[in-house]
This record gives sequence, structure tokens and C-alpha cells, in this order.
Amino acid sequence: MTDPSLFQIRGLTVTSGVLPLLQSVNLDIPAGGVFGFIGPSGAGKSTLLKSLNRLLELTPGLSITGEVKFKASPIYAPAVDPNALRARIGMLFQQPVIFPASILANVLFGVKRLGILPRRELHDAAERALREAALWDEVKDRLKGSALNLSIGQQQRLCLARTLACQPDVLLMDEPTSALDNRSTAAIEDLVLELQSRQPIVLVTHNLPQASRLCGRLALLCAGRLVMFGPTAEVLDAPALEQCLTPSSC
Amino acid sequence: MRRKFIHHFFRLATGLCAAAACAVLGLIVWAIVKRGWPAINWRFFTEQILLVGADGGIFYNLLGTGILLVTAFCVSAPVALSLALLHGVYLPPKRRGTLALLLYILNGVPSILFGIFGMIVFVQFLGWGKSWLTGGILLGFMILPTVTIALMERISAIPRKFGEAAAALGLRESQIIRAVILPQSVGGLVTGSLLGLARAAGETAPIMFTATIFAGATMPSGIKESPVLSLPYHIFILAQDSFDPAVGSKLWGTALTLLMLVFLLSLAALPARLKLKQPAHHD
Repeated sequence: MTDPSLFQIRGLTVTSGVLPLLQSVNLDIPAGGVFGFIGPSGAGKSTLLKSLNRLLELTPGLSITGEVKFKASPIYAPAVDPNALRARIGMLFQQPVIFPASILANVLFGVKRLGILPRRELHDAAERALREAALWDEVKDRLKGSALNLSIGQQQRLCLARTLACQPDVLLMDEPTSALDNRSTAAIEDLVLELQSRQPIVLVTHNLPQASRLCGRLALLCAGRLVMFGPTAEVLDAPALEQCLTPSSC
Repeated sequence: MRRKFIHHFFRLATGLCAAAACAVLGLIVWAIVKRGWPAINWRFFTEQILLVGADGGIFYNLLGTGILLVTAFCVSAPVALSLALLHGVYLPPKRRGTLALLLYILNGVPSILFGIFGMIVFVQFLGWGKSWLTGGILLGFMILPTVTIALMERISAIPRKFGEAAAALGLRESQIIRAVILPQSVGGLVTGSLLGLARAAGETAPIMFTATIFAGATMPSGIKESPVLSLPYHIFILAQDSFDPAVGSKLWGTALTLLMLVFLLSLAALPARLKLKQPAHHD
């Protein structure tokens, strides 16, 4: 029997010294659509997201216990290669991270080095990824130009293209629009709605209207605990949400 | 009233100290340029030593110093790069201080000790005799702390987000080093090396027993018994024998040449040094 959930999180606890960042979180993330993490700042949304591709381990001084399964296989098992795992799980950060190189080099930054495509197919892969990220028409004449000259909204779409070029099974997005203006935010939101038909997306946001526009299901976090999860309308209407977002309640 | 007096007193005192430092530098430069300039012409750079330094030029001295500096760079660059990566990537934070401390101690080793060490190990034990390679290796290790520390600073200035983004794409640590860290630390390698080489160009003690002779050497063709001529050793020998005005003129000419070489190396490092103060990249 195949398990319908993409991620199964059981008893996940993350502490930094004595400070708990996540306390025994149990959560199933389904294999389709957009799943959102909401909650106030410092609730542990990003920590939870980064534990899904083991990026959290790169932060020194954290202890991570509990179990996370990705497509039914435990990702914290000793035999798992975290790099191979991260290559299957794409990630978009809050601030676009652009390497000081050309647009083309940025798109191919990961896929070229992962060795998943033959060299002669790389250029096509770059075009495909840039089209998927709705950036191709804006940059097709200056692929060799520096990516640092792009606007911040274009940079974020370039980061998305870089991730898509690696053909990940799932996309993690950590508040991907919080650094962007309204127009760029709308562009990213449109892309999220378009891409979700092809691959599941896990989105962290502190913007409730955005959560309601994009997410099929939500999980509400507060002070490192999972307060509730379920269909978006249900979570957004729950009294727990109000309490959680009121200062000093958590 | 009293506070104001102290304020002005200290401002005057610091100003005087700065003026004294500049005046010393100015005097040295003025004295060398004044006496060395008449000796400098095209022949001085293209001819070899004649009449035990009283005539001819310093072509092979320039060549020898060039060989020593290039060798020193080739020796120090890979070692410095490895140490800086050890410091920035592989070592746990607790050990990083120890590595830096060792580098500062190495930096404090008197240059004559490098010379004696080189003489015992390379000249005698390995039986190389006087060799350009020994000199290059010794100078390379002398400038190692300067190069390594410049690289370490540059690597630690690389924003964390670059490594994180590369790791999130699934790149291995070795790929992150090649794709992210090395391209962004080249500036540190260039700056550190130029500053180190500017220092090494004038060092006499490490090479006088191990690598350089006064006259008779040309382009080295092997390793054993293959000494080179050099600028600082030329100055050292001529200074002991400078009663002859012809020799004196060549001495000051050589000194001016060395000074210009060192200034050029330091000047070349300047743009990259000024850039080092800024964050490595746009956010």
C-alpha cells in the first residue's frame, strides 16, 4: 500500500542549547497542492521547513530528534546522503541568493554540478527552467549578463528557475515574497499556483491573505508547537488562530 | 579649561607622531632617490655585473629576485589556501583560534632563523648546496602567515547564504568549496600574496646562506648548486665595500630599484585591499 503523504513528521523536536525551537511536532503533509505553515515570527516555521531537507543541520549547535519520512523513507536514517536528499527537494529562500555570475551560470548552478543532465542538454534545461519561472522573455537576450543587475523580483524568479532546473520532487519556499514589492509578489504567487499542478509545494508565510489565496491546507505553529492543521478555510476561521497571533498568548 | 588643554595636547602629540613617521619614510625615499637616480638607465637593467659591482648593471639580480618571488608564491599559495579552507570550513570553531595563533607565531620567527634552518635542512642535509629553490621555499614559508590570514579574512566574509543556497541545491561540500568559496576568495589570495612578496623581496637573511651569491650566477638550470643573484644581497655586499664612488652609485641604484619593486607590489595590492573592507557582495 502506498502512503499518500509526502512528508510524515513524528515527534520532531529541535533545540538550540536549552532553547526549544520545535517541540514534538507530528504532521502529515499530503503529496499534492500547496501546503502552508503559518504562525507569528519565531514560531518555528522556517525551522520546520528546513528540517524537511536537512538544511537545518548546517546551523551549528542544534540538536534534532524525532523522525521525518519523505515518500515513506526516513530522511534522518544514517544511510541517507543529505546532499542527494537536498537535490530532490528544491528550496526558495526569503531573500534571493544570487551568485556573482551571469544569469545563465546562476540558472545552471546546481544542475550543472549535480551531473543529472548531459552537457549538451544544459542550455535547453536553462531555457525550460527560465520559462517555467516566467523569466525567459525578460532575460533571453542577456543570458551572459550579470545576474546582479536584475531587479529583486527577477532575482527571486531566477532563484526559482535555478531550483526548477534541478527537477525537484517538491518545492520548499521560506517566505518567498516577504522581500518583494507587490508586483513581484503577484508574479511569484501566480507561479506557485501554476507549479502546484506539477509538484507539491510547502510554503512558509506570515501573510494570511497569501495563505488563503495559495494554500489548500495549513498548519498553524506557535512557539515551537503545532497548534492545529487542516483545510485552509478551517484553520483561518479557528479561534486558535486569533489567540496565536495576539502577542503574549503563546 | 584643563580638559580642553589635555584635548589639544593629545591632538598635537598624535599629530607630531604621525608627522615623524611620515618624515622618516620621506627621508628614506628622498635619500635613496637622490643618490640612486643618477645610476639608473636602460643599461643598468639589461647588463650584468662588471668589475665586481663597480660597473655594469643588475639584470641577473632582478631575474634572481623575480625567480625567488615566483617560487615563493608557488609555494605559499597552495599551502595558504589549504590552511584557510581548514580554518573556514573543516575545523570546529574551537580549534580555529589555535591555527591563527600558530600562524602569528610563525610570523614572528626571525628571518635569520629561517636562513639557518634552510642551511641545515636543504643546503647540508639534502645536499642541495645553494639553490634558488631553497630560497623560494623559505621565502614562501615566511610570507605564509600574511597570505593565509588575508585568505581567512576573505573566506569568513563570504555571506552564509551562499553556502546555504548551494547546499540546498544538493551540492557536496567539495563542490561548494569549488563553486562558491574559491571564486570569492581569489581577491584575498592576490592581496595577501602581493603584500607578502613585497616583504619577501627585500629579505636578505633567509637567502644569504641558502640561495644567493654575489656574482657569477645566471639563469639556474637545475636545483642542486644552482644559486641566483638577488637585489637585497647585492645591496648587502656592495654596502660593505662602498668606499669606491662607482660602487656607491651602483649600490644606491640597486636600492632604488628594490624600493620601486616593493612599492609596485604594495600598490598593486591596494585596490583589492580597499575592496576587502566592503562586504564581499551585494545583498
